[in-house]
Amino acid sequence: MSLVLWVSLAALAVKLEDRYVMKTIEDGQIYYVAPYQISSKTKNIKPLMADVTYVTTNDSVTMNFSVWTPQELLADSITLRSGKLVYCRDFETFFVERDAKLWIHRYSMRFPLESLNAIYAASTPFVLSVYAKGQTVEYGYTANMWPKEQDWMNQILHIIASNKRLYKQK
Amino acid sequence: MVLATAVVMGLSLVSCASVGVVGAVYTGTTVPHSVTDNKLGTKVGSVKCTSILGVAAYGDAGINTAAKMAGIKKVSHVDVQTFSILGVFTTQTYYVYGE
Repeated sequence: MSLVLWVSLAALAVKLEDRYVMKTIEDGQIYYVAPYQISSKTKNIKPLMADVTYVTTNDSVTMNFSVWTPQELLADSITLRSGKLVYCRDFETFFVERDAKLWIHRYSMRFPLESLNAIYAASTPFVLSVYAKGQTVEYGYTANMWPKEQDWMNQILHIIASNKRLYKQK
Repeated sequence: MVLATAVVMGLSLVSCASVGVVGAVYTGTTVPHSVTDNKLGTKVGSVKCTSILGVAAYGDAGINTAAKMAGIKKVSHVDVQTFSILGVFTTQTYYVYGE
């Protein structure tokens, strides 16, 4: 019984190295942060699943994310709010699909690495808002969840910064 | 006895296709899955499938799905990461790179 418990706990524990992969490319690296959940702040809406890709050669972060809603939510705009700062970026819609119950939307946003650093350095959690035809769906962490979520992402950002410094020295 | 049976079932009936080296007790590997002639891209997508006790398996681990999730039109290569304990719990994550 204890073995089963150990197996289950070991399987569920997410280590930092499981959260990202790094790949060397010509003149730089790609960092890919595996899909993670961002809670929904809107009633009856599932959490979104986001992944982040950072490419050192163009110093840009791409955040791809999936949104599930009961009705179609073809976004007019998407914003990331962190404290008093609002990041309103261009976004791309990869696809809209429907499963048995929900509409699935896949969006992609690009921003500089320094914006991601600032968002995760903030003491308050960010809020990601998807606006569509007067409807708004919001996602973000609670104040209790924020330190834990902030911690693992900041560790990855630290690794990125360290490798960038090393690469510049070479 | 029940646990032993479950482990044996898990080891023999792992439902995600096994790739690369597999340990009887523990597997934690990342190995190449496939490579194309396309230049290594800067987009990455991933998909995962999970198998429990070799009895239940779920997840869409299609390369096409991963490419679609990342907006990839030309796949350059695919890596697969396997995590397994006693064959009881197995996950396979496919990382698709491309442009």
